[in-house]
Parts: sequence; C-alpha cells; structure tokens
Amino acid sequence: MVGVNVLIFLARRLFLFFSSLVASSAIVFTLLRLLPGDLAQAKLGIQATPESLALLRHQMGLDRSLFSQYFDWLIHAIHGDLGVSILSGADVTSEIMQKATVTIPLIIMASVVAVLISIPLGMYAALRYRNFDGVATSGFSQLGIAVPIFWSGILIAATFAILWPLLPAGGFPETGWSNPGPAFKSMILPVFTLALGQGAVLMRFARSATIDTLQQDYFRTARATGLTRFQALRLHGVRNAMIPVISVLGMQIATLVVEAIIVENVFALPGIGQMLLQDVNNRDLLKVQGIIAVTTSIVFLVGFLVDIALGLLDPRVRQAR
Amino acid sequence: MRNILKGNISLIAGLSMISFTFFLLILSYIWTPFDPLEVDPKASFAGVSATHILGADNFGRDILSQIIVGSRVTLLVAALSVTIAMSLGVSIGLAIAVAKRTYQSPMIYAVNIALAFPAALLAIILAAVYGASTVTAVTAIGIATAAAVAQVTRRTAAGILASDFVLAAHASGSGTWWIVRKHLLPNLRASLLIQASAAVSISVLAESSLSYLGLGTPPPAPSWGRMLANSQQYLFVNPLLAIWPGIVIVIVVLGFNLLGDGVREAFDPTLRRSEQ
Repeated sequence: MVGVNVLIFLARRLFLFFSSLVASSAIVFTLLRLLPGDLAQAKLGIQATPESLALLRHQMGLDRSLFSQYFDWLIHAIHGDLGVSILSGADVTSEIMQKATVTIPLIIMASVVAVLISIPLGMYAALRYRNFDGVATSGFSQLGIAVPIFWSGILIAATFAILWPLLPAGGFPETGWSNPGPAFKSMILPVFTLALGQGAVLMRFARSATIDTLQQDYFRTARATGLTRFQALRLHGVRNAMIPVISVLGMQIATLVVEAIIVENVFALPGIGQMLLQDVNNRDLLKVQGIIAVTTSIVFLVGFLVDIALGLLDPRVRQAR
Repeated sequence: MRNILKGNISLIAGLSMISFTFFLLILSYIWTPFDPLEVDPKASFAGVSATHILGADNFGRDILSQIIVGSRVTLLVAALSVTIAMSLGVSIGLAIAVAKRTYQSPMIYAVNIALAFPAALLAIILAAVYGASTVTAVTAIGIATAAAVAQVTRRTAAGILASDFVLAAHASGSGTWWIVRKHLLPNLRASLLIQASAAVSISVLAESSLSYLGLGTPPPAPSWGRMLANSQQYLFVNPLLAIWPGIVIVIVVLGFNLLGDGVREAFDPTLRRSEQ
C-alpha cells in the first residue's frame, strides 16, 4: 500500500527533476549566447557581407528575443530534436545517440566495478583499521583520490598496452558492439581507469560506514552469539556499507560524467566526451549545447532515481527537503 | 603548535608536501637547470643523466625545469579559484543558513543546479564561447567549487544554528548578526579550513585535467597537465616522460588532502580516539 506521503514525495521529486532540466538548459543556452559576435558570424567567418549575415541570422532565428529562441529550442528538445550542427549540418540527436553507445556502457560498467571494488576493500580497511594492512588499504584510497584520472589512464595504458601488450591502448572498433569481442576488449582499460578513481572515493565511505557498524550494539550481539568478526560483518556490514556508497555514487555522477569525458580522450574512445571536445575546438555551439543538455539530463536523472530509491528505502530521506 | 603536530601524521605529511610545492614555486623564480622553453634537438628524448636530471622531451626541453616552472600555473590557478570559491561559496552558504525559511528552498535549489556542473564541464562551456585561457579555467573552477563550498557551509551552519547555545542566545535577545559573529563564524573555522584545503586539491586536479585536454593555460607556459598530454604521444619512445609531472600533481593534491584530514583530526578530539 503506497501512502499519501510517498506520493507527495514522488510528485515533488518529479517536479524538481523536470524543473532542474529546464533551468540548467536555460543557463547553458544563455552562456553559449554570450559569444562575442554570434552564431551566424561564427558560421560565415569574418569576411561575410552584412546582407548574408542578416539573412542567416533571420534563418537561424537569431533576430528574435533570447527567450523565444530558447523556448523554440526547448520545444524541439522535448521532441528529441536538438537541431543540426552549424559546421557539418549533421543531426545532433542522432550523433549523440550513436556516440552514447560508447559512453553509457563505459559509465555503467565503471560504476558497477567501482562498487564491487570499494565495498569489500572499504570493509577490509575498516575491519583491520588498527593494523598495518588496513592502514595501507586506506592509504591506497587516499592516493587513488589524489591521482588525476588522465594520469592513471596513461599509466594503465603504458602498463597493459605497451609494457605487456595485452589490450589495445585506445580506439574502438569501427563495427561497434555488433562485434562484441573487440569492442569489449577496448573498453576494459578505460572502465578500470574510471572505476579505480571512483572506487577510491567510494571506499572511504564504505570504510567509515563499516567502522560505524563495528561499534553498534547489534554487531556486539552478533559477536556474542558466536559469529566471528568477519561473519558478523557479512551479516550486518554489507548493507550498511551499501547505503552510503550508492548515495555517494548518485552525488558523484556529475564528476563521473566529466571523468568519462577525460577517459575517452585518454583512450581515444569515440564517445560523447571526445565529440564534445572536438565541437568545443570547432566552436560548434549548437552541438555543444545539445551535448551538455544530454549530459546534465543524465546527471539529474541519476540523482532523481537515487533519491527515489533511497526515499523508498529510508523514510527519513522522504521527510528531508 | 608542537602540540597540534604531535602524533598528527596527516598534518605533518600534508604540510611537508605543501612546503615542497612552494619550494618549487620559489625555486622557479631563482634557478632552473635550463631555460624550460629552450629547444635542443641534440637532447631530444635524453634519458635521466647528470645534465638532464629527469631527462628531456621530444624537443629536448629539460623536464626538471619545466616541472619547476609548471608549479606557477598550477598554484596561480589554485590560489585564484579557491579565493573565488571560498568567498562566494561561504557567503552564499551563510546567507542560506540564516535566511527565512521561504527563501531557503529556492536558494538551495539554485545551488543544487550549479552542482550538476563540475569545474571541467563549466570550463568546457566557457572554452566553447571564449576560447580556452587561464581566465576561463579560473572562473569555471572557482564557480563550480563555490557551489560545493556553499552546500557544505550551509549544512554545517544549519547544524550550529540548531544547537542549544544559539537557542539560548536567541532567548537572551541576541540579534542575527551577533549570533553569526559570536557563535557561527568561530564554530565554522575548522570546517572552513578543511573546505579550503579540499578546494585547493579540487582546483589542482581540475586545472591539470583542463591543461591535459588542451583547455587550460595555453602554451608556451609549461604546465604539468600539458606535459602529460605531450608525453602520451611518446609512450613508446620514452615512457618515463609520463611519470614525473604526474608525481608532482599527486604530491600537491595529496598534500592538501592530508592537510584537511590533519586539521579535522586536530580540531576533533573524538576522531583522534576512534581512528587511532
């Protein structure tokens, strides 16, 4: 039976989600229109005649108010039409969809691997926090947080693609996922690079949640019934470590998307991130706007889903604003 | 001072790493083994030797000299963006914490939207408009970090404002300003110090990532991120080039992270007991 409180919570959260999408896309739209000169100028170059500029401005709708331009863009975006590239004339939505087949699996696989690394290691570091190996484990996570993701990517590529040529140093097969073997192989190093960085962050939260569990009365009771520390932790610790890890992962999603952009550039993966940087260098602003709109939507969507999941699990979250 | 440092390994290690960084910065104005931009075809890919202590890159430019001078960009960007982040973030966070309830929700909402734009993403947007420069990097890192600072400051401040001694101050007729000055700010000091050192780490990481992507300070000024981007093209020829700049980045970031941990430990005696 779903209570009224739950429905109110869901409705409020849904409204927040959609309004955040609109607000953030409006901000990006405005930022990208602050360009000295404008889109028409950017497309035609500095030698354009005033007449051709005026004509193109009219065709692109640049002579209308900023608000009506944005509203127009938003209506199209809701229908899945993010416009066309200023330079190539290519359809932005279909290009993003095509590149997403690399980026989305990268982010999902990296999140799963990060959780799978961080929870056992965090619990281990907590269990042995007085011992050398526990301290060493948390030391590694400190180090992992301090290592820039592109450097760990370069080092991982140097080790597993050059020193021991086991896996490709970069690139993605032209055939895409229709040829799953090579496609998967070229994802392994990028996924691990991304997962190690995230895992190091998540591990700290798994560790402190587990240290917390170790001091609880129910843990002592479990020990008193004859379970070893390890068994008692398997009973009580895993879930208690999961909750902060999942919620932190939800908060970290914006960072994760940015790191995916960087990792794609390290490993020359033809995903959204690589495309974004090319478009930024080409000043293809309409496309940049479309890509940013999609990535921020992913961020808000994940935040929304994590909030809903935690809210359904934990009544206290529902009360909080 | 000695009391604070005693047994506080994080603080000691953090401060040593930070001192090393500032030593590089000062050294860059006094002495470098070579001119960091001097091209020497004969020294191209020179290995580790007495002349080129850390070797030389594809143009024969001395690596050690580039690393020493590279500290300038890193620390300049960090100093400027942390100044923006802390002044903007702390004022917004405090404003939200003391605001009337009706104003709080929309302000929190705005901060949450800003949080969806991490430093590098904001820098990419600004670079698309204005072209990449030190200014776009500093602005993006400063504003993005300000959102995070505002969020933490608001939460910490709200916790302090909910405590009994603030209630007592209210009851005895103290005004909002008095409470902010006499109760809120002194109790926030440790948290602000921790946030500032975390902000430095974030800035250094963001700056090096942007330089790596070619969206940071443009050449020729040496920067650690760009050195690493350059080294990646020559991984097959000289993999060692990809080591040195990374190590200094980690030393700076780790140094400020440990400083934050150390400060937290020094200010929170309960932490010392349970963690050690």
